[in-house]
This record gives sequence, C-alpha cells and structure tokens, in this order.
Amino acid sequence: MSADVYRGVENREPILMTPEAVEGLVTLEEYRSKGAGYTALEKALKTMTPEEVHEEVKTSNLRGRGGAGFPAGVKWGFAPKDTGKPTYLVCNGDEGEPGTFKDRWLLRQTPHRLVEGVLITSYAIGCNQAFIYLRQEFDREAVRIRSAIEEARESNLLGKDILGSGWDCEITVFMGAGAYICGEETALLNSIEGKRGMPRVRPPFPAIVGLYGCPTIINNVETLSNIPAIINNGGAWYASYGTEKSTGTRLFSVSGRIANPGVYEVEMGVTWSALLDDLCGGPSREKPFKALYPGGSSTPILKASEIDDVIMTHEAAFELGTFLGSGATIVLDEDDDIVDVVLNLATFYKHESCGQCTPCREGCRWMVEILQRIADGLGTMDDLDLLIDVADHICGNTICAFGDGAAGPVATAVKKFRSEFEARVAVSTARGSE
Amino acid sequence: MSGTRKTLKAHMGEGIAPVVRLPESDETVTFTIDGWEVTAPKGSTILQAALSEGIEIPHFCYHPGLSAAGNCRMCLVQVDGRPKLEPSCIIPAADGMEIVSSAENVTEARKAVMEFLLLNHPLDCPWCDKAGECMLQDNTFEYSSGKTRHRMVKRTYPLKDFSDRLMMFGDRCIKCTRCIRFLREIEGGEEFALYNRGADVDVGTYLEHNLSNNYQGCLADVCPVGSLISKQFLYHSRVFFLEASLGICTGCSAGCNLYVDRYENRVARVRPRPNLDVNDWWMCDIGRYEWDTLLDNRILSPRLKAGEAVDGEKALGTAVEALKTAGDGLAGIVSATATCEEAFLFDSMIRGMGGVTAPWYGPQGRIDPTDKNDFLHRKDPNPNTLGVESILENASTFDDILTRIESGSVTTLFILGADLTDEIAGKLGGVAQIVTITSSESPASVAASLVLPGTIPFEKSGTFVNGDGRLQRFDQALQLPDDALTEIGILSHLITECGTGEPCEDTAEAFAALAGTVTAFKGLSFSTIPTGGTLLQIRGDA
Amino acid sequence: MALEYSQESRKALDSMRAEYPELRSILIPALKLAMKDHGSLTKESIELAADEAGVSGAVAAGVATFYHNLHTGTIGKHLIMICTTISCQLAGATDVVSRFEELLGITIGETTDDGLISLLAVECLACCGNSPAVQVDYDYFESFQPEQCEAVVESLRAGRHPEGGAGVPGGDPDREAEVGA
Repeated sequence: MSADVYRGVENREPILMTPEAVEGLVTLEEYRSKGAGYTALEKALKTMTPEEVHEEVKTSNLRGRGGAGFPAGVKWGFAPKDTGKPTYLVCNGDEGEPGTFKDRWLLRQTPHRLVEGVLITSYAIGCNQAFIYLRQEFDREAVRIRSAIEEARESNLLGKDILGSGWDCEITVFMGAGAYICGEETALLNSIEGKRGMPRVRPPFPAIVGLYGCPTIINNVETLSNIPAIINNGGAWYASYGTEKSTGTRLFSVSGRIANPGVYEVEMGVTWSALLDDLCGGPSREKPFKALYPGGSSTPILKASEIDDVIMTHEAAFELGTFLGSGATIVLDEDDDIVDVVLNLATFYKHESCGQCTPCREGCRWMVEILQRIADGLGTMDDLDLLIDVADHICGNTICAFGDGAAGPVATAVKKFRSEFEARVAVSTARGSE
Repeated sequence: MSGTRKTLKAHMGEGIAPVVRLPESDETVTFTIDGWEVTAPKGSTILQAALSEGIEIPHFCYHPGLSAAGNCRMCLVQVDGRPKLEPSCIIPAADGMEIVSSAENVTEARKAVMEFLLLNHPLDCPWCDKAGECMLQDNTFEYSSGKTRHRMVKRTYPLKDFSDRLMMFGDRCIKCTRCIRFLREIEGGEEFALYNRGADVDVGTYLEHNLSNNYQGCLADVCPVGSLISKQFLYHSRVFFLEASLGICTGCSAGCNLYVDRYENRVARVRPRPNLDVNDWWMCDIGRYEWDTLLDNRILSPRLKAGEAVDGEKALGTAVEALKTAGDGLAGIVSATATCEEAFLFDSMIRGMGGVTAPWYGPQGRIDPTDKNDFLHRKDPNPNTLGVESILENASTFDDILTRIESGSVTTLFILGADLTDEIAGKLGGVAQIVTITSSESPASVAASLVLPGTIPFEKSGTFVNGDGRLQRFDQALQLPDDALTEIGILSHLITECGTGEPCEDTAEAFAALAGTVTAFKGLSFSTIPTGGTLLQIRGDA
Repeated sequence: MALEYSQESRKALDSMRAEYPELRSILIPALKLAMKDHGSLTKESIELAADEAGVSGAVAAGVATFYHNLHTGTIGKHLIMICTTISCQLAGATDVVSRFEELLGITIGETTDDGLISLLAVECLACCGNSPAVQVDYDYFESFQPEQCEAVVESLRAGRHPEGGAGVPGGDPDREAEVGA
C-alpha cells in the first residue's frame, strides 16, 4: 500500500516520489517499464548538445539538495573547459547530517534514476569518469548501485560509445570509511584521493581545482536524481513547480516526535503544516510540537510557533534565520528537553569535527564541556553567555561550513530556549547553596 | 588613515623581517591594508604581500617556505567589507582590494583564536625552550585577555622521543601542520602525519617509528611553539640571552647561511638564516648538529715536533726562518676549508718566497661541488672549493707536490688547514721543515716540525665561495684570547717579516688585497658584500 | 614477518587500481581489506596497505585513525553499531544499548572476550525515519527494539547473519558480498 507522501501547491504530480518510485524501481527492467527508463539520457545524447542540456538545468533553477542550496546549473558553469585536463563529476552520497535519510531512500528505490542523472550531467559538463561516493554504512545500497551500473553497461547506457553517440563515460563507486565531514565536498574529494577527509581551503574552488587537481563538479544524490525529469520535461516545466527562487519539489526527511516519520516530497511553497500535520500526521505523543530543526541538525532551531502559516522555501527559511539545509526536519515536543537535545548534537559535532582548524577543533569540544556541566546540574548562569560566545567565535571563522553548522544551532537554542537552560543551571545553584 | 603601520616582530631571525618568496610575475597588484598602499607581484596572497612590506598580520600555520594551510585562522582579515573574515594566507591580493586588519571585529576573531589555542596549552613558558622566540607567546601579549574562561581538564599527550635529535612536547602543539608540510613538501619523506580527528588530533610519527632524516632540526625551527624541540639545545639556554651573528655553514659546499647563537663566549646553537638563493629557510642536521666536531682535539698553543711547547713569538720566528731558508724547496698546501682571504695570503706568501701552492680537498679527493646528496646537502665536504681554486690560479696540484716530495726536492712544506692522511704523512719524512697551521690534531699536525694553532670558523670572519660560485661573508662569533692570532694574523705577520707584502690588520684588508689581485673578486670589498652573497664570474663545474 | 593480503583481497586491489587515476585512491580500500584479512589495523597491516597505495606508514596511519570505521583498536568479527544521534536517541536508542550491553556482558565500545562481537555507538546512520537504527555488519535493522537484541546476538553466535535486516534493495541474493569492504 502506498501512503500519501507528496504535497503540491496545486494538484500536480510528484517528481521524485511517484507511486512507482515509492513501490521501487530497482532493476533496469522496472525502471524501463515504470520509470523514465533512460529516455532522458537518450534524448540528451541524440537530440541535444551538452550546452543545451546545461541550459535546461539552468532554466530549471534546480538548487543543490546537499544543504547549501546553490543552483546546480550555475555550479556546472564554473568548471573551465579546454584545460587539457579531464573534468570529473562526483555524486555526493555521503548522507550523514543528523535527521537526513532521503538519499538512502533514492539509492534504494530508484538507483537507475541516479545513474541516469549522473550520466546526463557528465555529458553536460564533459566528464568521462564520474564517481559516486557513498558512506560505508550504505553497504547494501552500494551493492544495488553497482548492479545498476552493470545493468546499464550491458545495455550500452554506460561505458564506451554510449547508445552509439561516440561518447564514453564510466562510473566508479567509492565507499567512505566513516566520517560525517566527508559530506563536505572538498573533504569528500580528499577521501577519494586516499587522504584524511579534511576540507580544503578555498580558493581554489573544486570546480577549477578539484579531484586530482582537475575541474570537478560535486552534486548531491537528490540533485542528480532530478536531472532525468528536467531533461524529459524541460527546465521550464521544472521551474513551474515551486516559487521563483525555490523551484521544484524537495524531499524532506521527517523524524523525531512525529506520527508518521519518513521521506516526503513537497513542492516548494507549501506550508510547513502541510508537511508536518497533513502528511506526517502531527505529533506522535499527543503533545504539542515545541520546536524543530527545519533542515537538519546544522540548521538553527525554530520554535514551533515560528512556522505557523509559513511556507517552505529557501527565502522563507532565511527570513526565520535558518535554512532548509538537506531537508531534514527533526521535530521535538513539549516533553523533550532542549538541553539534552543540544548536548546530543554538540557531542555529534565534537566527534565529527575533522580537527583541522582551530575554532572548530577546540570550540566543539569546549561547547560539549559546557553543555555537559549544565546538563549535569553543575553549570552557572555565566556558562550560558559563555556558550553563546564560544559558538559565535566558531561561526564564520572556520575553513568549511561545519563550524557554522555545529555552533549556529547551539547559540540559537540558548537564545530561544534560555529559560530551559536557566532551569538546569538553577538546579546547580540550588545544590550549591545546600 | 586608520591604524598605524606596524614594524614586524621578527619570528624568524633577530631583528630581520621574514624572508618571503613572492610569486614571479611581471604584473603587479596594488591594494590597501588598513589604508596603507601595498604593491606586490600578481599571485601574491594578502599575507605574503603584507609581510614583504613589513606589515604584521599575526599568523601561526603560514610559513613562507611551505604551502599555505589556512588552518590556524589567526591571519583572518576583512576583505572588501565581505561579511565573513577571510584567511589572508589564502586569498590572493587583487587590484583595489581594501583589507582591514586592525578593526574590532578582526581583533575579536583573533582573540577568539588565541583563546581556543590556549585552552589546552600548558602555558609552561618558564621552562619551555621556545620562550622568547615563540609565536604563541608573542601573539598572546597582543591578542589574549590574560584571563581564562575555561574550567575543564586540559588535554595532555605523552612526551615523544623521535631520535637523538628531536623530541615533542605534544601538550604545546597547536596542530598547525608546519612540520608535516615540511616533511612532505621539502624533505620528501612524509614521516609525520596528523592522527585521529577533532579535539584528539595528534601529530608525529607512527608507533615506534624513529626519525632518521637529515632535517630534523628544521622541524624544531618551523614549529611556531615549543612542541618540537631540538634535544641538543634542550634546557641549554634562554634564547633571549643569546646573541646571534651571521655565519656560513662549513659542513659542505652548499654554504647554507646561518645564525650562530652564542651564550657568553660559547656557541649555543646554529640555525638557518633564510637565503632564497642558497638554502631557503633550511639547513641539514649534519651542519646543525655536527659542527661541534670542530672542537675535537683542538690545538691551542704552538709546539715543535717533539711535542715541545714553544712561545708564540719564537714559533713565528721559526716559521719566518723556515720560509727564508727554503729557497726553491718551498711548497704549500691549502685546504678547501680555508677562507678566501686565508688562501690568498697563504698563496701570496708561498709564491712570494718562490714556492708553489696546491689545494687539498680531503682524503676523498676533489668532488664536484655542485653534486647533491638531497635537496640541500652536497657531496663536496668543503665550504670553499671554488674560492680556493679561483685564488690559486696556475697552481700546482697536490699530486705534483707529493711527487716532488717523494723525489726529495721539497725541503720546506707549509700546510694551511689540511688534515692529510696517515699514508701521506708517512711520505713526508724527507721534508726538513713542515709548518702546519691548523685548529685540530690530524696526520698533518702530527708530522709537523712546527704547529701553529689555527681557529675554527666561529672564531674568525671571512668569505667562502659555495658550490654555485656564490661569494658569501661570515662574521666572527666568538672572541679569541687577547694574545691569540687568527690565520690572517699569522700569515700577515709572516708576509711582513719576509718582506713580500704589506701587513693586513684584519679580514677586510686581506679581502681588499685579494680583490686587488684576483680577477674574479675585482671591485668587491668585504664590508659591501651583500648578506645574501654575490655570484662570482668563475669557472664552475656545472 | 611482513603481512600479505589474501588472494581474494589481492584480486580486488588489482582490479581497483585501474579505476583511479592516482594509486593513492586505493589506500582506504586497501586499509579495509587489510582489516578484513588481519583484524584490527596494526602497525604491520597499516604498512601493508601503505605499500599497496604507495604512501608512507605515517600517512596511512593518519588515514586509518581519521575514519571511525577503520579500527586501530581491538575489534570483533561482527560489528553491532547502534545509532545514538538525536532522532534515534529520542526513539530510545539508550534502551537498545543497555540491552545489548546486558546480553553481551560488555559496555559500549568493547569487544566480547571471544573476539566475536564489538558493540559500538555510532553517529547518525541516515535512518532517522525508522529509529532507533542499528547496523549489524553494515546491514540496517530499522525501528529496532530492545526485544530484538537477543535474536541478533544468538544469530551471530550461531554464525548466521541475523534475520530482519533491510539487506540489498530488491533482495539481491548476493547480499553478503560487500560486507565491510
């Protein structure tokens, strides 16, 4: 039985979570009989130049689904042509942002659609060897992706002279080894190069000096999974979904205190309530929502009241001082203690910090120490301001966005839920005076 | 104009601004730092341009000889009013850029970095060797509140002993990765790496692996804090009690530029003096740690053959007598370790008295002074092969002189600095007078009928010509006893007494005489030789 | 004595070499295979992988200690990895951890004395919708309840992969193929 997993502004079809996809388009035969079935690849190779493919994606204004939301077509344009070096495409499947599980869904349900997206994008940017980087925990998903690649190869959809076009393209699956930071695109490149997954300083940007020092485009699994539909239906069709600046649909991974957690597709512009109440069935414990991380644990927390009547777009999230991130909504209810939640996430970031740059390496540890003593009832009121101060000193001063993701939500949580922190400190003050 | 232009605190050499290698480009960019206009070759980073102009931007992980890592975040500046601060070691300078390095938000970010770095730092400056030349200590004065806000237990690491030359106090490490980059980019062995991640990051070799490379001293040099420590200097002296003089390494024909740091009248350590034409920022461990072999078996007073002590005046008189009575039986041997001035005076003296001079390269014979063992260290162990050769024009060869000795036609042999071998010394039985001027015992001193004590390089000034034909001067680091003469003093005395030349008061006068005679040195004077040396037009091997 | 790769690993590495423009890219796979063949990564097995990828032992050790699925400490034949990040934590991951600790007689991060099972708390497994999430030898066990712990431990002790894992999408019969590599 296929549950209701899609909400549009108007009554239009879903793009990624079609009923067939929800059921599973796992084999090539299934993808051909019930999905796009590499028709978009064939269309691109036989009727379009790489520039025309690129143009359609620019028209679609498809924004990156990995977290930063940068327009994919613009990103592709940054890779210089005719450098005499190969250009690489890397698909980022190192899904690890707490709360995010939509890429795993795509890998499991529609592996061929991803392979097709990778191939079309490779064609557009002039790449002959693409990499799909998967976190090691996607071990079984990797088996499926590799099978899909082999099936595609057997049907001349991949490899030499694809569909008689004279164009060659290989896809290599690279497995990570356990490091959240490898989801950061330059850390991911270092990981493929057999190095510690530490982000690179920019400039140079990876589009110019990326994998093996060559021009490299890195796109998320969801971003690339949208490409076949864009090519088949046109960029304008895709852009007709959503709002002007936030086009299309997005997958949201919803978890926490929610009746029906899972992956959902929503058209940009629907309300938060359409997702959380209509699709997800509201709170799981009959307690009202208290707060939510809208786009993953790296996005500043919102009070539940802040999303009343708010639509889901990049711009609306920005207005609220947060981001849609990787579309991972973690919902908390009245009984959840913000201090414990923040400590859990701060511990995650302390553990996952690569340790390269000073503010993140030292600051993430310090934040956990402060939060731990507050949670243990040993904190002081000064600790709350210290916590904000430490977080503010990490934000904006690090090599990559990890620091902002680790510290921003901590500072926001203390500011928005100060009374909860103060209550924990009051315990210690009371104890101290015994 | 906002802010004042700061004079650079020299972290890399007493009183000397850092040596920065700017990119080679015909195009320049002009931009401002706190309102000060700076021009630099295109491709320079903001920090490179600033440092080369003597404008201080605090930093730790940036080292001018290594790739920029951008990890310490101390050099953050504001670029064109962008909301986020940017690392000046990474961002290329561009025309018209407006850089703010002294505004409150920039200072606050740097103070935050200092606070983060000091969280786990032991603050053990009182017994840390680096105190006084520590970048962390220096920046603490300007960018730290002097008060700690943390209440946690500090992270600690066990002491690491990498070799007989280098050890690591991991508690002090700030994970700047300079040492790792040095071994990867310059030395090439990649014996160091970062381990673990996050706050547990550690640096060093893996498990029981001992360092064996020839550049371990450079690891202590590049360490901006007191983490990597040279064991030879451990607890030897406070660096602020040391006085530095300009030296040249005598370990090989590379001619690495040095600072000779002395405490009272002893050499406490030597360390590289940056010279982008010679040794960049580096020197090898042989030069750094094995110079003290110069002190082995020192000869400190004159003596006659039988080990019979003789006073200085009488010794000089004996030498003069030997010269005057030699006739055409006179020959001279000068080591390629002698300075240009010594070689010149020695050769003038021998030729003035009708003799011939030949160079001595050591037991291994002559080695092409351009041949390298690695990126720096050369195969030729002599600091002045090309200098001595260019001075001894039309000279004899050592083999010729040896043939003459064996045929009995040499009656008087003067030896300057050469050690010879036991085998050769055994063939000198027929030479009536052997006068050896040397600083330490060797077959040549044992065979001598008169030994005049010489000096080691730290005890004199002079010039050497390195394997690339670069003339470089060095200054005297250690004082000699009042009555002691340097080789120049001895040779000047002998020349004057024999009436073959004018006396030379000091190295500068000896150099002037040399420059007046030897073509390659024409037009030069000792005091105006640039500190970085000058290339001579001489025949090299390359 | 210097270690060597098993024939199977050797073959895998040889075919991998051609896939990457630079040899060094096989360092992480080489470390995983060294771990598969020789257990937790020791100085010797790290050097084995280092030689394979043409890097120094220090560089390989730096990589080995960066990724938390490359184990330089004691590690069991089977891994039970319990996600303790926020969504799983909210859904009761702590109870799952306690139950496994009780059944195995070890605490989180430890390995059973017989070297069979390691119990690890891990960060987000990207399975937050069906939390708590557990991985047994890299197979997902979703919405995992403490009552299921016993069956998992029994299966592993009996030398069987536990029932109920998400497995390979579409049910690939060859689902054991890539475990841990």
